[in-house]
Amino acid sequence: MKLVLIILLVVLCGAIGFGISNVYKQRKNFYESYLSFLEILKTEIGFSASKLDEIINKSIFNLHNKDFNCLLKNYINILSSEVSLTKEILFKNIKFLNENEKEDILLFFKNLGKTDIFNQVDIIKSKTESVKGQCEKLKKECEKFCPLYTKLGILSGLFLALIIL
Amino acid sequence: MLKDILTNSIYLALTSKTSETEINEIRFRKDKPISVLCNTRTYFLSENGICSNANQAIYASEEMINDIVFKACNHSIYSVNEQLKQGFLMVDGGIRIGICGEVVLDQCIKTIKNFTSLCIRLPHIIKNASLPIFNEILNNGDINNTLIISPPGAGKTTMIRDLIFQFSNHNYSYNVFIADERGEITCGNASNFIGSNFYDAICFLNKKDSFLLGIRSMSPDIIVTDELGSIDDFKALEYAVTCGIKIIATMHANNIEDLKRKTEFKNLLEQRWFKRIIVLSKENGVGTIEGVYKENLSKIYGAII
Repeated sequence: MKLVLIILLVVLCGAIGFGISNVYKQRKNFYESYLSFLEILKTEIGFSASKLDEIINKSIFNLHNKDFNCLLKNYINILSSEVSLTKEILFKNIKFLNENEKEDILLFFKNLGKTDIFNQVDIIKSKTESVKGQCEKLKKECEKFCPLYTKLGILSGLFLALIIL
Repeated sequence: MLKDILTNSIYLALTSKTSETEINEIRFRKDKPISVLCNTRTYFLSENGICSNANQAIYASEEMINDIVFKACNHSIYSVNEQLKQGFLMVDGGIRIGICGEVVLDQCIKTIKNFTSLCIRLPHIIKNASLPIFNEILNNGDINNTLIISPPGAGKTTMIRDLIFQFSNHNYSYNVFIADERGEITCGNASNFIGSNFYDAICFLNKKDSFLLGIRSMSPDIIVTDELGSIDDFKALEYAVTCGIKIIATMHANNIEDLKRKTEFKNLLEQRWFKRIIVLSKENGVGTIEGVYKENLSKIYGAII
């Protein structure tokens, strides 16, 4: 019985550590998809001036990140409604971004489609550079904190198990 | 479709007492009452439908106007900037939105921003509208080069659209090339709005390049185009006529006298390229045929009601 409890404790603590490290992975993957989306936007708008809803639907099909696709779906649902785009709507079911990140992404999407081709492509290029920087930063955080929190979780579980023993 | 570009409340107000088929134009002017041209009469739009009292009317706000433009271009202004630069947008279903605002200049027109007025024109297909003049355009199995003139909104585009249909309907297999610079003839949809089996269309390209492209690639028997105006348009026309292609075109002019005063037309008049000139008006409703004239401007017959 005690052994079962100890095993459960180690697994639970390990899972908590894994869960925390997963947030870093989610953020990194989200921003990588954001970067890919910006590349798709730049090509589709700059080359063939495709409509926004076509580009978004194409992106949802091509990008495989669940969270970023969720954001795109929230955005495209709002486009055809009469409701204004807000943080609560755009980031519905997306919990791992901080307020500054949400503001920044919201501003980008609010201004999407509202200027001529040249300005639109310039805005996308500028955003791409900033998102590239963010991706690098998140990649380093992930490399640093993901294994750390996973190991911390397991170690905490083992430590608590020792105390119980 | 109109429903897709207007807000729910505006669309419901508009259609509460009238149907879309009765509406010709809806005008939105910033901070002014919304007006509706319905069966040749202008009304205001109130929350309960069209009315004659401006005090009951809904006023168009800047936000409302921006929303309509944004919806009309499927939230992608960059994709329609070429149309915007010319002061219009074409929407699915052939709806044409004329736009006024602040022009951004940088050696040429870059775009229009800060929109202040919209004129939403709804197309109406009137089958057989061109039947009264059909036999004037045919010439013993051949086609007379034809110019249709009228003031704005008198049915020129509706007339030529129907003419294209009638060629097919009467089993004439003339290959018709439509140089649809503003997307109004084919209603922005080059595939099938006209109900003819024998037409090809290029939309949103200037007439000069359109004519060149069409003649070289589609071997047309007839070129149909709308709103001749600039010197380049007439040069394109000259090129087509000298290639042996028949032309059916339209032009803004109130009557033959107005037409004679147009500098660009003088050359066409001297060359006698147009064998038939049809004058339309709104006198007895849109599409009233005021007269049919020969190339020397002598009248063949007068008003057809």
